[in-house]
Amino acid sequence: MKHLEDAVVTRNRQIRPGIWSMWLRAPAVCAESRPGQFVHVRVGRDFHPLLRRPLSIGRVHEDELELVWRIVGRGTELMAEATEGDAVNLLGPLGRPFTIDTDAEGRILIAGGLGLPPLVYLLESFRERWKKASLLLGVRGRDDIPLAEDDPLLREVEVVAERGDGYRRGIVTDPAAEWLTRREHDGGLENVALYACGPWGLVRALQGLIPANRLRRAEVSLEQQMGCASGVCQGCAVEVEDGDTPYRLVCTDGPVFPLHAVHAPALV
Amino acid sequence: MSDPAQPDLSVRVGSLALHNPLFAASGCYGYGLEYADVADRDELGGFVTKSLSLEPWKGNAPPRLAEVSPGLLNSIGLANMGVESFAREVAPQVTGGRAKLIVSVACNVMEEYEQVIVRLEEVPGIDGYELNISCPNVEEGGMAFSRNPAVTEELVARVRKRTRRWISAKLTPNVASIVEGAQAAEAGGADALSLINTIVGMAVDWKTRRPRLATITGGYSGPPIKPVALAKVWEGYNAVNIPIVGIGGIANWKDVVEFLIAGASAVQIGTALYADPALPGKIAADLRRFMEVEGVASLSELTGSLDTGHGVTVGVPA
Ligand SMILES: Cc1cc2nc3c(=O)[nH]c(=O)nc-3n(C[C@H](O)[C@H](O)[C@H](O)COP(=O)(O)OP(=O)(O)OC[C@H]3O[C@@H](n4cnc5c(N)ncnc54)[C@H](O)[C@@H]3O)c2cc1C
Ligand SMILES: Cc1cc2nc3c(=O)[nH]c(=O)nc-3n(C[C@H](O)[C@H](O)[C@H](O)COP(=O)(O)O)c2cc1C
Ligand code: FES
Repeated sequence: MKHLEDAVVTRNRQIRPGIWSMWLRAPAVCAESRPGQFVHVRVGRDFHPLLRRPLSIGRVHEDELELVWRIVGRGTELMAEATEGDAVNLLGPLGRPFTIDTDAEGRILIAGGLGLPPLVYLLESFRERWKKASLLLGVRGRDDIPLAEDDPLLREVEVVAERGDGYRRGIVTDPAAEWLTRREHDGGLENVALYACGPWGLVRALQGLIPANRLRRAEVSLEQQMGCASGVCQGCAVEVEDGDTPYRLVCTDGPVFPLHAVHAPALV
Repeated sequence: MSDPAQPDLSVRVGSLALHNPLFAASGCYGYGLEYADVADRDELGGFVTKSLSLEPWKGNAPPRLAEVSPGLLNSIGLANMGVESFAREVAPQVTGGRAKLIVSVACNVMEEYEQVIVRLEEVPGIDGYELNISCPNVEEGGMAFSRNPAVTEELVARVRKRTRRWISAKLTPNVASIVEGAQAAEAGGADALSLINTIVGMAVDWKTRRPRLATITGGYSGPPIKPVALAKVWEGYNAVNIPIVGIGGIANWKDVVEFLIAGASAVQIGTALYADPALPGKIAADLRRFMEVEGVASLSELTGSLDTGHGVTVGVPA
């Protein structure tokens, strides 16, 4: 069940240049949220900007949740202006979460840039049950890591940076390929669950890296411009080969889809 | 039912009696169930379903939305579940409430409108139909129907023969004058007119030089289209004797009152519902306050009350 909830900002700070982290007290949303789900955030007053902004639910600690975003336009800029005690109206939790696969034996989480927050949430939920899951993050440079420098979680993430910046230099599919090769020799891929979130380039690269049906499960979380985020407007369609129609809605059928069912658009 | 201490918001749109003048617009409230968790459907006087066709439609290629704030461009292409699924699975769940159920119908050819209506006639509890003959986002039919008065009249007349239920014809604003289309729908036997559907528009990404919608052009909606919609309602009000349902950019109680003054008997709220699905309840409360403060006994006394005796002049600082 989704809620319309006036959440209260408990902390809002810039964690990297242009990247913000906000914690909100939202008991109703938190009580039902699952990793991979998102909230639709009312950023403006009086319908300016007109639409809500979809943001992944990051960490959930008791009745507080975290949103992490990059400022890319007016909506995300307005969110950066909120301060402690402000009310922010959320619609959520929304969408289909990642599948928590209890029978999988290896778990690899692959994030590109701002695709990290839902995977951090997933990692934390895994930690409650299983010790080991690998979380890989690809960024351009240190400034693009969507975690604060002093965040203890940063130590649990394997960062790959195109510019190096003190991290392994390269792209995230490098360590992902190595991990999968190791795994293939050591236990096999049939029991591996892979979870990813990032730009279309990453989705395509992963589709190329992993032949369909080799893994037990491969899921990816997608983005699309949204209106209602509730299956009303039919606006957030993406091409997904899954059943009888060529299109699926990111807001209700997704945002999580089987990696190999997704058709990345030709022009991105 | 209505609390005697509270102002009565009820209105009539021809034979259709509503407990308040607020409908949810087609395409902006799904089939009536999607927002059930977060908003009480019965806070609406009525709601119009997503337009239904004879068979399910898959809709247009993505991207289908481009926000041009505070407006929205869409090219959904009438993606819908088809009349059969609605009749069997959804209708039993959304009939019987205080909110009237109006089923919107959109097809490529005239015969299909009749077929859809015939099927819906078997479904109890439907309060009326809105004929969407004004969608700008489909290749066949769509707004071409409403751009041709002769076709509009024939289509409405054919549907009229199939049902005794309330019918409204939803017209396109993408014409030089809506008068002929409005009169044609009236002549065909429509009980009301729904004005307006979206306005053809386009958004370009200057960086990539690409259109922001896959279909290049789409339909513009939201607060910026209100002045256009008000003009069409006023034009329609002066051209026909059937009531008008005003649509376009409504986001608060003042917008509602303005539409009534311009000639509407009721209104529909569309795009604003995406931002706030609970908006109708808030607007209804605000309208009650308005009636109390302004001493308005009945909302219907506002309909067409535009004072054209003199313009309102605003002082311009020297
Ligand atoms: C399910 C989902 C989860 C997301 N999670 C995150 C997250 O955790 N962190 C984060 O930084 N961003 C996330 N995004 C992207 C985020 O929604 C956009 O960055 C944001 O809407 C931009 O708004 P704006 O007004 O600042 O930008 P503008 O570019 O001015 O926005 C204009 C319009 O385009 C839409 N839009 C722009 N970019 C995107 C996009 N990438 N995806 C969908 N709509 C977009 C906006 O919502 C708005 O309607 C997510 C998107 C989706 C669909
Ligand atoms: C995403 C979207 C989908 C729509 N789908 C339909 C539809 O299926 N049938 C229809 O008659 N009108 C449809 N409309 C038009 C609305 O019902 C309404 O006429 C228009 O949006 C203007 O009102 P507004 O400014 O309040 O949104 C749609 C509008 C939007 C934004
Ligand atoms: S955003 Fe409206 S259907 Fe997905």
